[in-house]
Order: sequence, then structure tokens, then C-alpha cells
Amino acid sequence: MSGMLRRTGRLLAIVVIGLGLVPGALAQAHVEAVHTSSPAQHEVVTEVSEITIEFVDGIDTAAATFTLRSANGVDHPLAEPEFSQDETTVTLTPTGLEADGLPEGRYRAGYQVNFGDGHVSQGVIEFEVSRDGESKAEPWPADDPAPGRHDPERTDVSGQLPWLIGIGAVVVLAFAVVLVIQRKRAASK
Amino acid sequence: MNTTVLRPVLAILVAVVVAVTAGCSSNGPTLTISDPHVKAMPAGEMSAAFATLANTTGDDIDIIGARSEAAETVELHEMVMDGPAMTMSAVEKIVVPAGGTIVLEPGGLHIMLIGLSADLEPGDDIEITLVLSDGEEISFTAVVRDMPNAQESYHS
Amino acid sequence: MTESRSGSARVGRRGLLGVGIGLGGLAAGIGGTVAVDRVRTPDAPAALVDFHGRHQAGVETPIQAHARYLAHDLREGVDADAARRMLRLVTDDAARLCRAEPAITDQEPQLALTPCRLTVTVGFGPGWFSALGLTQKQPIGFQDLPPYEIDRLEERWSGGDLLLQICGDDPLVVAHAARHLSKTVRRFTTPRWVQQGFSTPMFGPDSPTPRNLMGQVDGTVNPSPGSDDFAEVVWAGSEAGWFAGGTMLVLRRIAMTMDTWDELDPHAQELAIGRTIATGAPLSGGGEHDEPDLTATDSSGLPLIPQFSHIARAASTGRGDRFLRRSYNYDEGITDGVVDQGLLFAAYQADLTRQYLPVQTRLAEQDLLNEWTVPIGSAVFAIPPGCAPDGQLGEGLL
Repeated sequence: MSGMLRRTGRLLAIVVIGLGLVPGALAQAHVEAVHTSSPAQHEVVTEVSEITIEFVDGIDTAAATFTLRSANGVDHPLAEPEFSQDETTVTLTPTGLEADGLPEGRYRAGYQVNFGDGHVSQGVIEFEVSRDGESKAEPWPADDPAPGRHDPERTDVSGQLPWLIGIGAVVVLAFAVVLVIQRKRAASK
Repeated sequence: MNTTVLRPVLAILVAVVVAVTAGCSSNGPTLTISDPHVKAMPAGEMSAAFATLANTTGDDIDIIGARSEAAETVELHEMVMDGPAMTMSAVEKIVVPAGGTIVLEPGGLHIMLIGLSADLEPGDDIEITLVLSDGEEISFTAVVRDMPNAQESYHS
Repeated sequence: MTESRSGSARVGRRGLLGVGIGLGGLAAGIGGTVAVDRVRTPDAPAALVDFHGRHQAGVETPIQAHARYLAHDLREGVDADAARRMLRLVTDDAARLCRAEPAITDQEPQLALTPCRLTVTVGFGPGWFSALGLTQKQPIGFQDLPPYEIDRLEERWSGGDLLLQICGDDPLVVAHAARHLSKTVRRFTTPRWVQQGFSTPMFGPDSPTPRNLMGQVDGTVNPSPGSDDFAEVVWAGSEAGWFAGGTMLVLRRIAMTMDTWDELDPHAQELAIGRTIATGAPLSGGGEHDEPDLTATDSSGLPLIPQFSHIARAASTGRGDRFLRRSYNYDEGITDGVVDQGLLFAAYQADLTRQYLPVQTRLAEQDLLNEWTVPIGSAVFAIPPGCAPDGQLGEGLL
């Protein structure tokens, strides 16, 4: 059963990555591994002392890497990750916290996992801690879909988008010009 | 002195010794024997020896006989076509022409060993002595080899 | 006639030493006369690799296009003396074939004549030492690999008392050499298995690193041939006694499950490996030959090279756990409806216990690539040192 799930997951990944070529789907291309998390992606919370990530399938717990980094680039040490029985959910506990948990600010919880099939999925859960629940930072940058490592030439098409759009525009324009010229010729005959 | 330096020196020494002991003909080397080998066979059976013989002199060299401690009898043989069949017969001599080369090989000229005194095991050596018409004798060591194609001994 | 192929009759070292071989020993030839043949001309093609030397060829030799590994088991009753006789014949055959000359008793002599960097490398399995009563002389550190959980070993690709590794750039020449040598050892051994492989050949340090069938460059971290580093990693030192100048081979047949590997997008493949496919550069940046930086992280603190990627797990810990990779690809077409491709993974090291086992243990424990790579064969061989033109392989042991 889990094998089937995995296969489905893999298929899904391929589909999602395929969709990655469509600008609208870009943001989703890198989060397919996560079902839900707490805090949720881009959530503003008043207090956090642990982060829970539920993946879409059981992960290889022996080969998983998790990080927590604040917006100013400071890495927060994490206790040994705790996994649920079915290995779909991990709980990350930053160590050395005050009673009210993580200080205010923005954070990225990074994961690098595989579903026991060798296929590495990686990405981040971004969230903000604000005691009054009001975001105190800039809006989440829309053009930063995947702080996880990737080859900018290959999997992150976003950098090429302006070019793609530019080339597309040129092609459309050229086609239009040709059409116009042909019409004019036809009319003058 | 390490062995890699020693070896060429040794080799030259050996070469000198060979040249000197070749001695009956004062002109130096006369007959070159390359790649001598003999078919692996059990004791009591027959076998055959093969090699490439090169005559470095200006005169023909006649080999008129051969002997070896490895066999009761040693003869010079050749395989010839006798009608449709290949048969083996003894020859009186093997002539290595002046400046020429002959090959003793399966299906052709060879040295026949009859009545092996011991098993010829692959990788062993036997010594064979050729007798030339001028009385000179040339000994060489042949390596025993498995030779699936050298069936001479079965046709006698 | 082979004589027609010989060069000038200059009395060179090779020619003189050839006397010893031709007459079956230095003591031979007394009373006979000897001339020189088969002296290599100065402009002899570089496509010949010298069989003789302190080390056997076929290890430090830049990888040739084709390989055949032939494993044999000693026949019952074969003792040390018989083994010595066999090696004498193998040595003589190999030396001739590697000079692109027919072996004695060669029944297809024409197939030997193409210079194609032929090398013949001989090795001894653990069973060689035990069968011949030579366990006392078994090189230190030489042992069978322990079983690994990832192993799916098949008898038909594993073990063996005697190895003949035959490599060259012309498959016909390689096949011929394999066939002839098989006949030479037939009296002493029974065949156990044959494995064939191919590679993009390398001709020197400037040749690009060959790729395996998964598309990865394979052998990037190798010590460079001719260097002190290479000697230290690969060749047994003087403390090894008779084995000094030898090396130990671990040969593993690694099946690649290509159809599921294909399901990965290129980036996921790269994360499993830890290198970019296109250039072989580590994901931490730089070029192929730059050291992977296993501590490098991205903006969220995640390692650029996943901790469980192949290169992270295989990376040397700096405690001497390095070896030479000289692997060939294999492709047997379709077996039981499945693509039958993989790697003849060949690792050479002075001491496999010290250098190889730690890496294999790490990889067996955790390596993302294990998902697509299945060890189905495994064998180890002690590759004895090389020999001089008047010597033979196995000297000092037998």
C-alpha cells in the first residue's frame, strides 16, 4: 500500500514539476512533499516552541535533515527530531528557548527528506513570530518560491521567466507584423 | 644495487655465455630456436615438439637427428597429405636453408617424442638436443603446453 | 610469421631477455645459439602497454574501452607447484599478447596482432591461498567482504580463486586474449564466471572522466596515475613482503534499476548523487575536480550536498579510506523483461580492510543511490606485484 502511495507521490511530483513550467504553478513546485505544518506556510503566530511538519508520506527518518534559521541568518539548534509512528510527521524543537518560545521575527524551517525511495524532497516552511499577531515584516516575497537549494539553470524557471516572456512577446509581435504585411500585399494586388 | 639495474647486466652476461658456448662453429650464432614448446601428454604416450628455427648463416643447416631424456625415441617427422588423409612419416633430415627460417608446427614438420618417460605437465620443461650434420649439437629447453590441435601422436 | 613484424635487430634489453623466455629459462640454451627477434622499434605505437614492471598493468593504466573479468576455481589436486607452472604459462601468454603478438599455441594468431593497449592482470581470491596451503602468506588486510544488508548477491557473479582481468580498446583482441588464456588455465582450473564491461576509454590525465549508465561521471576523486598519492593509495608497500607492489581488488556487480531511476527529474538525481550530472561538479559549487564542501548550506541552512547523498557517504573521512575506482559498465540487454544494466564496480587499494571496508560500510548503511543500485555480485582478489621480463607472476608466493 505504501509502495503504491509512494509511486503516486512520485507521479505527483513529476506532474507538479512539469506544471512548474507554468508560471502560476511555480510556487507549488517545491512544497509537494508537505501535507500540513504548524506553523503553516507564511503563517503569523504569537508563540512557537516547536514546529511540526506532516509530510505526504512516510519519510526515511534515518536520512532526513532539518534546519531552523531566522531571517537574520542565525541557525537555531534543534533537538533530535521526533517522528510519529507512521513516520509521516516530524516535530522539531529548538533548544535553549525562553518560556515564550522563539523570539519575534521571521523563520525558515528547512527540510531535506526522502520517502524511502531515494528521491530527495527539500523546501522550507516560512513563518513569523509576532506577539500581537500582526506581521511586522514586509510581505513574503512572491518571487522566492524555493529557498531550498536548486540549480537555477534547471529547476528554477522563475529566473528565466522574463526571458521566456520576452521571447514569447517577440515571436507574437513578429507573427503580427508578418500578418499585417501579407494583408497589405494581398490588398494591393 | 637493486634488481632492476642488475637484470640487464645479467642478461648481457648470459648472452655472452650463450655466444661463447655456442662455440662449435666459430662464426657465432648459427641456429636460432624460438618459442620451443611440446605437447602435454601422459607417460608412455607420444608427444611432439615445435619451435621456430632460424638459420643466421650463409650455409644450409641440416638437422639429422634429435634426442631427449624425456622419451625413449626421438624422431624428426612431418605430416603430409596422402590422398585425402593426413599421415605422419619420419624424415631423414630437416633442412634449414641459409638465412632462412622454418617452423616446426602442428600439421607440418615436428620433433616426435615416442615413449614418454614421465608425464609431461603443462608448464614443465624438457630438454631436447638437435644433432646437425656436421656433428654439432644444439640443446634447448621446450615448455610443455596443452595443445588441443597437435594430434600428431594419435595418427601414428 | 611474426618475424616480419619485428623491428631492427638491435640487441636491446627486451630482445636479450626474450632469450630467457624463448628457451624456457636462463640456464637453457647452453650449446645452442640465439638471436634477437621482436625488438620494438623506437616509434612503436603507444597502443602497447608494457606487461612487465614492478606493478601489474591494468590498474594504473588509463581505462581502456573493453574489459573481461574471468574468475576460475582451482581444480582439486592442484598444488603450489602446479599453480606455479600455470602462472608461468599465463605470464608468457600475457606478455606476448600484450605486445600484440600471438601466444605460443595461439590458434587464432591473427586476432592478437592489433595493438590496442591490451593488459592482462592476474589476481588471487581467498580460495587460492587456502587451496594451496598458503594462508600464512595471504596479504595482511586481504579478506572476503562481510555480508551487507543491501546485498542481493548471486553465486554466478561472486567469488573465485583466480582472476584474469583482460582490458583493451579492441573488443575482438580482448575476446581472443580471454579465450586463449582460458585454455591455458583450463588444465588447472574450472571456469566460475565471466563478466564483460565497457567504458569510454581514457588515454591520459587529460581525458574526461568516463560516465556510467546513469550518466554520472565516475572516478572523479581517483588518485592521479603516476603520483605518490596513487602509489600510497593503491600499491602495497615494502612491509607487505612478497606482496609489495601488489594491490587488492574489490569487484562488485551493481545492477542499476534504470527504469525507476528514469522517474526522477534531473535535479532529484543530482541530489541523490551530490553532483551535477552535466559537469560532475559537486553541488557545493566549483568544477568537477573541486573538493565537495559537505558543510556548505543554502539560504535556509540546508546542506547543498545532502548528507545522505552518494558522495557525502562515500567521501573519505581523511583516515586513509580512499581507493582507486576503475569501473566498467555492463549491459546485458533485457533479462526477464527488465533492463539488465549496471556497473562492474572495481576498487583497487593497498589494503582493503583498512581502505575499502569503512566506505562500503557507510554506503551500505545509508546512501540515497542504494535505491537504484543493487549489488548482485561480489569478489575480492589479491593482485600480486608485476614481474620482470625474465620473471613470472606469483614470484615470492609460490
